[in-house]
Amino acid sequence: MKSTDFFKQLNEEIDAHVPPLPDALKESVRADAPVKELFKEVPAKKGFRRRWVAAIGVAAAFLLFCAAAFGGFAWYLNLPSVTLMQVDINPSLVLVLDRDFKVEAAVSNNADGDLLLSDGEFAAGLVGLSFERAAVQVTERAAMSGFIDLENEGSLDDYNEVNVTLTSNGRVLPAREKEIREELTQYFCDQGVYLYAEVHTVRDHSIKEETYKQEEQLTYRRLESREALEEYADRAVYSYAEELLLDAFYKFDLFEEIGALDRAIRSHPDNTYRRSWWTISSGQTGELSALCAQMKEKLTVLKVFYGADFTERTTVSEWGYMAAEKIYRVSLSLVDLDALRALLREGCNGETFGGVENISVRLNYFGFVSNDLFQNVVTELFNGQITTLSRLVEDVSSLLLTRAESLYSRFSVLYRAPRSAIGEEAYAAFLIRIGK
Amino acid sequence: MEGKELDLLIQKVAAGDNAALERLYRETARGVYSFAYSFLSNHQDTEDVLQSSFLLIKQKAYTYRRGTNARAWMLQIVKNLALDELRRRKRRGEVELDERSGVLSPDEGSSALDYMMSKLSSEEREIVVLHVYWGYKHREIAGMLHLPPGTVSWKYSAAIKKLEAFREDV
Repeated sequence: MKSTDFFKQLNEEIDAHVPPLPDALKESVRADAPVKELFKEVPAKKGFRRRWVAAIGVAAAFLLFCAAAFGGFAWYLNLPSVTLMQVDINPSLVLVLDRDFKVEAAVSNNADGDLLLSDGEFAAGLVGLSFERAAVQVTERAAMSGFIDLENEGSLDDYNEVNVTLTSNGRVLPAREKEIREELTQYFCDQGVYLYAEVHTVRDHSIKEETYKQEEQLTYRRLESREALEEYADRAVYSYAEELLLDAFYKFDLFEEIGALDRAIRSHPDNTYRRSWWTISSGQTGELSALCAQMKEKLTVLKVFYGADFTERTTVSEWGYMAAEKIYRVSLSLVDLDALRALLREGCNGETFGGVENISVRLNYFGFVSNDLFQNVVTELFNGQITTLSRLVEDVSSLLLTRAESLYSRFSVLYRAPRSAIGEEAYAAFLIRIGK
Repeated sequence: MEGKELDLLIQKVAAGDNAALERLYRETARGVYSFAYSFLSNHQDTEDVLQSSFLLIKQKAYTYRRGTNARAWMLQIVKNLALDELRRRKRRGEVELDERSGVLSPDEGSSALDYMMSKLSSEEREIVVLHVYWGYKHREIAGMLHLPPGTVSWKYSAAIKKLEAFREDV
């Protein structure tokens, strides 16, 4: 069958399910639209002018009355004219909320916040969301960019936490705190991620909308002075180099673990014919079954992180893995792994990694890390950007974007991996573990 | 539909033009439906999301900034609503998701839609729908899904090959 025929049938099926535009939808009032826009396109018919003038008069009087009544009521309730919701994970963002507590703008408060907002589509998607949904989206994005440890089940000194502060120049009902806390807790329990949400409200008469809202509807903080920019670029590049190294070791260790599991499976006493995971029958029990499950897990990680799929239990898949592993090992034959582990311990900085005196260190680094997904970026680093700070300063935004993309592409896969939801009892136990 | 045309229609909808809303619905309902169905795999919920999407598009059209990406703006609305519905279902324990492959398993039948849902992974479905119904280029889809352009082209061809086997399989 041709694909065009398939789509023809698909269109017919979809058309059968798509109802005509409901009349109710045509009549629905755009409740959120500014009043002037609601009246903008109403055509005035000839012959009814006098009646229209009267109607407009009545409407204007009614609007004035409403405005006065609302103003008085607002004053009575002390409703805020501006509310800022700061979400701190490690990225820190400030979301400007309107009177209905919907997001009007997002502003970054730190470098990691810049990372999140460097994805324009994500940033634009925040606008118009309710405050509790926005808090969830920002936190989820942070989780997808690796700022939340998905495996951390929490202890007294180490647990995932998100801090949300609602600062307003009016009264914010305590129910708002509860709504955010419950939404975040429920959402991340459903995702199987242990997260503690700390929510506060603060009243501050001095805050003004204009401080955060600029000409552009959506904006994020820019580093102002050249010194600050240089310092930021310096830190960003070295920490990025370190991340790449860490990731390359992750891949290396993964191959090691898969190799160890393969050996353990082949030499297991229950495995009479010394078969590998790819060729052994799937009906194993006991320890051998547990080893096979671990192997499947590791190969899945290899697939989702590095795009090498050897999860099919066939001889062809086994050969494919063996070939890939061999090539990987050969490519590392000239690499001094101990020196790189030492570099990771000391950290990448000007002294250990920069300058002409460290060319051999960077050569060794390049040989190891360029096996990784981030080859392009590493090539850029190697080509001298790391030693020419001024060029990096000019390029800092593109570096930021690349880093954001690479973090997101890696950790979002991990985040989307299936996990069991956390029940009420398990969450209560988590709160006890972290001392809350 | 061209991005510029979509841009203009949304502006007209924002100004309260019902004819523009009808045209927008006529031109994009199929795309909205297929995009929402690719998440939900259920006609009833997809129809609900379709209607909620257009209601929201009408209500929020005035927030759309002229000259920005109208398709992305609409798709974001549809995606948010579809994901909300999925979350509701998940809370009710109704999601039928093959956890390993991301392939949804609707009732087997001779329907092309169900065939697409059962044979393609969620990523392949998204690529096919975005390309066929929303006219996105592979390069643009690559940007949206954070994938290399080559991977998108490759996945698209693989998906089309699977769909071409439709008649033989059913």
